[in-house]
Amino acid sequence: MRRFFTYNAKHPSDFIQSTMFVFALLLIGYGFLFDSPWQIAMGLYKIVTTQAVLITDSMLIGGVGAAFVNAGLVTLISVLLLRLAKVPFSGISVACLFLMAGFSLFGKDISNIFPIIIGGYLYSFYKQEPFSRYIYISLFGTALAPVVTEIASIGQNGTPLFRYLVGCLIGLLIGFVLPPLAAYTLRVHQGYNLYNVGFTAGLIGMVLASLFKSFGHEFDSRMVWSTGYNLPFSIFLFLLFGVMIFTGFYLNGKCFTGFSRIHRHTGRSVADFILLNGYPVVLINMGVVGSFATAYVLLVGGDLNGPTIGGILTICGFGAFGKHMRNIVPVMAGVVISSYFMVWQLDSPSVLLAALFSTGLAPISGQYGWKWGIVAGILHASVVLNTNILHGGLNLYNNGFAAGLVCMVLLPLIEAFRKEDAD
Amino acid sequence: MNATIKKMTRIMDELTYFFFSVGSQGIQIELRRLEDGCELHFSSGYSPEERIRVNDLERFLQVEESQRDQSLEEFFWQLAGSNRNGDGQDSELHLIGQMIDRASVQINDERVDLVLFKHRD
Repeated sequence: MRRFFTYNAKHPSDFIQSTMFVFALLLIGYGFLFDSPWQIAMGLYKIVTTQAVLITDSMLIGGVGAAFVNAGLVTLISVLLLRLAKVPFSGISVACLFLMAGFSLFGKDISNIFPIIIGGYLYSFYKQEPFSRYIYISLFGTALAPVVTEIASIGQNGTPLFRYLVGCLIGLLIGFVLPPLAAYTLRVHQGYNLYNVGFTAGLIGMVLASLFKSFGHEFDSRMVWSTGYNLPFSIFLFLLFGVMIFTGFYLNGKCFTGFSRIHRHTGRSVADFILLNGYPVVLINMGVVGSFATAYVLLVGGDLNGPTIGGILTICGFGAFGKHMRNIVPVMAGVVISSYFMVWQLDSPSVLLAALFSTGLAPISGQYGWKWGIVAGILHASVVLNTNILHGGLNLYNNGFAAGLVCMVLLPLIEAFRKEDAD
Repeated sequence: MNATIKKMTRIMDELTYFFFSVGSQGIQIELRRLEDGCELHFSSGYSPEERIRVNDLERFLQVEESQRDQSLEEFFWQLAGSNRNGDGQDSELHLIGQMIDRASVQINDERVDLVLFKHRD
């Protein structure tokens, strides 16, 4: 038991696992500060039974308490799955778990993630390989979890249970086809889009949405967006990130040595900062980028709620797997600059999310410099506001989809126009 | 076996990028097909001022079995050797460490000899 609470630099997996476990419990505990157990149980029921396409803030559907408990439970389930699959906890685990927590505040829930994960398991069974090989693709693949509840809501044929089972079946199918597709799409952006599965899920979502539309289904634009919680959530987030920085500082021998080294990495996948630089320094980095993202939302006058906290937690998680201040700031700056000469406002919901999730393109500024990072941010802001309609909001990682498209266009141009080293 | 050979060629690409980025003037590569997998023999020189980066090879390539994450290989192996800038980043070396089953790393003052083995997929 002691090994789970003692940091061992050579074998950090157990300690990382413990911190992720504590993080999940923290989310659950925070939820209980807001609502009573009965309200939370009712809220969870509402979250599970409500359509979850973009943008559906779980806090407005089931209440703040239920949303955080849902996020904590989904994180806990993900930790247990990684543990059952006997995967060593590393940078990608932290990124994946924070992303699962974040998106459970706006779209994923304790019910709709399972069909896709089981589909991934069936694929590993079909390939006669351990599930551990596909577990991250399956967990990231729950970006398409809203498909399950969306199908359950379509048409009048059959009972709700029948429609829900059909939704689950489609979810299984998605989980089954995701691994080979995700491997293929990775080649398209060469690791410069940190949300690779978002790109894959966008393509699948686009095909599914087209099929739905062919049968006459219309996707209504959805904007369930809570407001008025900036004070309690900013206290929670700054405390969380402060604890991360302090813990990292303490485990790092009460100093910040090594923190600057993280900024040398481009962030291009596979930049597992924990294996490259150690967990203490990564905790500091996660705390710093998380605080920066929170401060950004507050400074532009945005709302802290399910979707934006989801974005902040995702940035924080990827602080262990590709993101640091040097590579995220130029891309976010690109989104900010775009607002001065384009038609949107920085505090509008979609643009807030675009700014936070544009950091999936951070490796472009890490590899090619801040100027290209800004260009990537500007392009991303435009593209992402037009991609949701393609998949009808079925893909929660709409920004990952847009980032993949930006990479497809921008990377060949960067390669063509930048000055090559002389051979 | 084809999948294993594909992965080994990616590893060769990545190591080639890496060693030229640390000042190599020439590389010797031999890839052997064995009954149960592939074995890569890789030798190269390097600039003495790059010794710190070269020393990292031991850490990145000699990964304990308990620390190997098969999902990383499954997810990302196609990125090995794909860095168009050819600057031999340590993140890709770490990926190679996750892709191979055994590694012998011998670093001398002027030369590095690697023997990497990968079981057939």
